[in-house]
Amino acid sequence: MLMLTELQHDVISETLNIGMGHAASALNELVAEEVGLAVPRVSIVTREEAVEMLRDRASDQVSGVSQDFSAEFEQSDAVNGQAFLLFPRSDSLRVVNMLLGDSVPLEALTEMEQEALSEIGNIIINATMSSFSDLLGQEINTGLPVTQIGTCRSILHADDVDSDSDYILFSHVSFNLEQRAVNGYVVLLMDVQSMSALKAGINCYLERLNVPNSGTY
Amino acid sequence: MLNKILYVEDEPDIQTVARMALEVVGGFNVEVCSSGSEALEKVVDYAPDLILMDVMMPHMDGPATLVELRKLEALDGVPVIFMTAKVQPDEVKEYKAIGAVDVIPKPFDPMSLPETVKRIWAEQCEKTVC
Amino acid sequence: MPKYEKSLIEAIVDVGECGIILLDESRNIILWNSWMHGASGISANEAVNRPLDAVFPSITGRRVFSAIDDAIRRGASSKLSHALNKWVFSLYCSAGATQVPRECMEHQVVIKPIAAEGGARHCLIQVSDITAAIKREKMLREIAQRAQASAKEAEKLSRTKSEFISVVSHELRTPLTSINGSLSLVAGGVAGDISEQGRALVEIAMRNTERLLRLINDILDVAKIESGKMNYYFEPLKLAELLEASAVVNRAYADQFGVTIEICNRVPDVRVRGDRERLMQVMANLLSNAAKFSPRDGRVRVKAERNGDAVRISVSDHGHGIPDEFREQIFGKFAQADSTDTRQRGGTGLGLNIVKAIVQNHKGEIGFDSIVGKGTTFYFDLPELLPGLLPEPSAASRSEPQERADCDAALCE
Repeated sequence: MLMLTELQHDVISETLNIGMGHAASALNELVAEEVGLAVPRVSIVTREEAVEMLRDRASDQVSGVSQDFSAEFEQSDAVNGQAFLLFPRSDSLRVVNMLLGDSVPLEALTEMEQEALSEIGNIIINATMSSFSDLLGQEINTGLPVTQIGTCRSILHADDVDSDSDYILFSHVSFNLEQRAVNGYVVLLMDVQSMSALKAGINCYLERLNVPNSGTY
Repeated sequence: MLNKILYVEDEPDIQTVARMALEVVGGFNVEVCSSGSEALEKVVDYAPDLILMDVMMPHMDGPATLVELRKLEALDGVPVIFMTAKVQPDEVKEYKAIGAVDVIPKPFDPMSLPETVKRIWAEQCEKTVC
Repeated sequence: MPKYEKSLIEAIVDVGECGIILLDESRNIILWNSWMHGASGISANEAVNRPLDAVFPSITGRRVFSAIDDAIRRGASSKLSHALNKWVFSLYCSAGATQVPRECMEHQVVIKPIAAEGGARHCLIQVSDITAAIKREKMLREIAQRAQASAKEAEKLSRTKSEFISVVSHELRTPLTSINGSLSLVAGGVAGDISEQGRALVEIAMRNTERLLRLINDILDVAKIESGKMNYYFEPLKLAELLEASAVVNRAYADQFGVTIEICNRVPDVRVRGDRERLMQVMANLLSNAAKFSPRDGRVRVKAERNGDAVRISVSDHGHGIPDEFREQIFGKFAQADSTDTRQRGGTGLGLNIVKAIVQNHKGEIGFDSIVGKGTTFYFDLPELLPGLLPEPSAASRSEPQERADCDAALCE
């Protein structure tokens, strides 16, 4: 099992929070209200565990956005993966209503609201990736956002692949707007090589900062 | 022996009809009150054997009055009967839950009202051995 | 894939049903398709080689600008939704040059990095017209809004209605209580002796206040049924006891017409799930109708028997039957075959309408057979409550209906 040292964990949390800071200021320009974004917790889990965590904390039906990402590392394998911003189905409506300030909430997201949710995810995922890219000193390309609606299992392709062959970086995102908060989940899905490359990149960063990395992973 | 009845009703015409039935047909001693608060004022001094009370009254309705009456120690064991047009099974259940011994539906027949009151009182006596 | 001429690529791009702009690493326009020309009024010749923010000055500092930057500098793709980015570019619907001013085109923008020669990165912008979709959605939202408003209105109305029913029921009964009570005391001699004529008049008044009270009760029941406010209190009931009680309660009324009520119960042990008061109301309506329409010294028969999975309760009379032309409206409101028929005095014309609603609320059905000149049978079916779902009845209560069934057996045809 791939694990993070305390220090690696802190670096990832910090990187995600910097990304959220950028995403929040981008969102603030789009909506009238002050939006706050924070990532309180990060963990690395298997797909099965991620499905369980999502199901426990959200609900079985989730909706959100995904974007493919890729990066070429000189010293190691290429990093490939898929980034998600997911919400419990009912909360996705709340987020859109909070941000769009719409007074007539419909029972389900309309096409236009779905597009708005997709853009919110797009902003957050791009900001996260650019924050990682700054950390690693390495460009990370992202694909176009794709709307995701379905069960936790189907969205995370838990039935399609051998669940031990890859890892998931799982984190909460809390949206704060006008004293209301909604929890979403940022999920970065990557294979074993990509995760190793990410950790190697983090270690490089720590070496550059001249911080001894105490872990042996 | 049932003798003194405190009768609480806000509608003057119904007061007259019921009072006449209880006094002339039934031969009871009747004290009439036009509101829940008047009943609370008079009840201890009058010391009735039984209380007959309307449910829908302005300001303080029958159930609210009953709750206050139940707090008076002097009235321990004095049965309270509601007279009302609101006699859906769940309403009746509610009246009994707060301590009414029975309900006489409105409109009532004044000629048989004294007999009905006597029967309820007798049933109550059997239960509590008075 | 073969390398195509630039002109061919431009031709392909021009066919598309969306706007396509290609920017170089300095945001200069390299490609501008004819769709963009149509929507912006700016031709490719005017646009190409100029920076995008020179063509559309309003984009500076907006999300579209940083998204283009992210694509060129970082290789990030972005999608700009209509909800969060209104009118990114100054585009208009193509409705012919004659229409002035042209309608603003609602659009959605996708921004994608493109790897270019020599490691440079270009940016592809794709614009789609979603004006029609926006209109459709606006319409849907308006419909939803209206539906919500009318649902609220309906709820308010229903609340007002039930408050009204409750107030009317109290306000109408209060004076009737006084009137009926006074008359009853006078008739009872409480106010002193009265003459024979006086007594006859008081009795007329009493009979009619009773009729008025029945009418009020029935009207309130219909109002409750129609606004869905009729409450039911279902419980397991012994059918035999229910039928017996209904016969006892209605005997005095039947006596007025010299009519006797007979019970023939073929299913003495059956139980049903029902509201006792409401089923008594059904029986009272059917029995009083049957008594009213029976010839003097006639018999009204109440019969209970199995009908498939259900129990059928029927009430038969030997009256003059229901005329054909009246059969369809029998369960309607204020239904009376012949309002001049003096025998019908006292009926409200609402009874069968209420009876039908009550039976249907018991998952039952009501119907009738009638032969003019011979008589009428009203029947309704109730689902049987199966034993095993209930505690065993005590031996005493079980034997009682059995005896009654035996002694009434001769009455069953």
